[in-house]
Amino acid sequence: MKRFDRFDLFLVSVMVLSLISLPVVRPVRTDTESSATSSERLIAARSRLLFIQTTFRPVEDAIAAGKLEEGGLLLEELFRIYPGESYGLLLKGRILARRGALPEALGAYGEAVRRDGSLVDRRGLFSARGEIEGVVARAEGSIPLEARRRNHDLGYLKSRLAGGCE
Amino acid sequence: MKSWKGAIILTALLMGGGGVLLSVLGNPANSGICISCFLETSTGALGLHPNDRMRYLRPELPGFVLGAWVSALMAGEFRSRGGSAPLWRFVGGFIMIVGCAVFIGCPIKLILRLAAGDLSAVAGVAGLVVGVRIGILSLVRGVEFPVPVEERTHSGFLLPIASLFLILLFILSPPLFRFSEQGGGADAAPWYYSLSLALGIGFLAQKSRFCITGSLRDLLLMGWRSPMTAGFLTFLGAALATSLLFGRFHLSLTGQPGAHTDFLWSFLGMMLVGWVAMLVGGCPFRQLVKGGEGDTDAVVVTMGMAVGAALVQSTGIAATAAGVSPVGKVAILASLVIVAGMVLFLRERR
Repeated sequence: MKRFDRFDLFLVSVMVLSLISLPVVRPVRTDTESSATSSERLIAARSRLLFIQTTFRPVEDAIAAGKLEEGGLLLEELFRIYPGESYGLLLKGRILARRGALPEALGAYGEAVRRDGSLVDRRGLFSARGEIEGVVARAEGSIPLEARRRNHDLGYLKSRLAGGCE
Repeated sequence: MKSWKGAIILTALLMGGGGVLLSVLGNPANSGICISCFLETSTGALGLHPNDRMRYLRPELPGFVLGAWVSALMAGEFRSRGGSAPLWRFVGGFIMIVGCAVFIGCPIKLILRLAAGDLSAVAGVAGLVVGVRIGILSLVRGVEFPVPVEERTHSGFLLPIASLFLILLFILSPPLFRFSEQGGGADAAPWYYSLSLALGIGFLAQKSRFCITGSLRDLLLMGWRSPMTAGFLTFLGAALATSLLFGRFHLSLTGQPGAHTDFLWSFLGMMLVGWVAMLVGGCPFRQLVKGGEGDTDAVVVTMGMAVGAALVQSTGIAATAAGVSPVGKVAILASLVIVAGMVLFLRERR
């Protein structure tokens, strides 16, 4: 066998190509949650429920009363203090869906689920599965096929609703 | 030869049909008997990673090992052997799980996803075939791990015995483990179904030596007439028929359970799995079966896979329906560097 042949060249090429591709995909820091005992998880869940009930109640009341604009403004205010809060994003999706802005609503729901996977669970304190299923079904029926294909949030939400490993 | 082919067909039928059936009975959709997903949930059950939505001690994993163990003992084929480049094998096992985690599934799940109409899995199929091809090329061009030697320490019994203990603890004392209350880890078929099917599959797979990457290798080397290829087609056919029978077939490119549309990374992930599987002598499933036969080299690969399974969850390497994270992409590229470097380093030049 030769000392350096075409297969060696292939292997070196794979190494070099992979190495020079590394800077293209910059690593980002991911938050890793600490392992919690069941009682700690329960306390955390109840605290979160209390937080949501007290913080987002005015927004939910406004939506329930059909005052979507008022609800949206209240939500904007809350996002200044709690930017990207998953329940807030869920309410944003709800407001947008009721206004008929389905692609934007899917974006908000998609972001909410990315931040809190329990929103699509079948059961649980924060499950909004039925609501999200409804919006996805509406989007499937009303957004044109080509736009649906391009909408990553729709594909993402459908995939999450379908289950599977996470 | 005829009985061997029969064993392959039977194994493939049980894996394809049974895999889908377990999803129908409660396992995560399209996962069936996915080794990488199950290693991730099982290491979570042992507290080795912090994702509390991916925790359940899957009885299928020890079931495969125990089924193969019983089969090997009955046939007088159990031999405690090993010592062939253990650290390389550990690294290989680790890298196989990185590839699986980025694709979301091992080669078994790849076929199950395809049989459920998930067109996004096609990129993985292409990657796996290319990986197996490069793996064959690597072997042909002089990469060869040393021949394993008989072990007088009987360490080949360790994995089967550990599997037996795990199953007993799982049945008798479940609170020892951490189980998910929500998410993919909470989806599980009744354990007695999972364990029974896994024992049967492990038993038959030890006899038939069936594995997905081995089938692709035979297909590339010997064409469509090889028995393993027949097994591969049977597996696909059985999974497809069962999916159709239970209304689990949904043909689409997007919106599939536990899948994403980052096709390049799916391709590269499965390419890595195919390449490494050729080097270490089989896909993740085959390593468990060989571990049951007393092959401690396969046990070392399995240990690498277990460590990999915990790390892909704790570091964010594992892809989700949202796609592949930058950490996952870096892990794939780094793994390619390591595998290519390993092959370059290990080639025998006569």
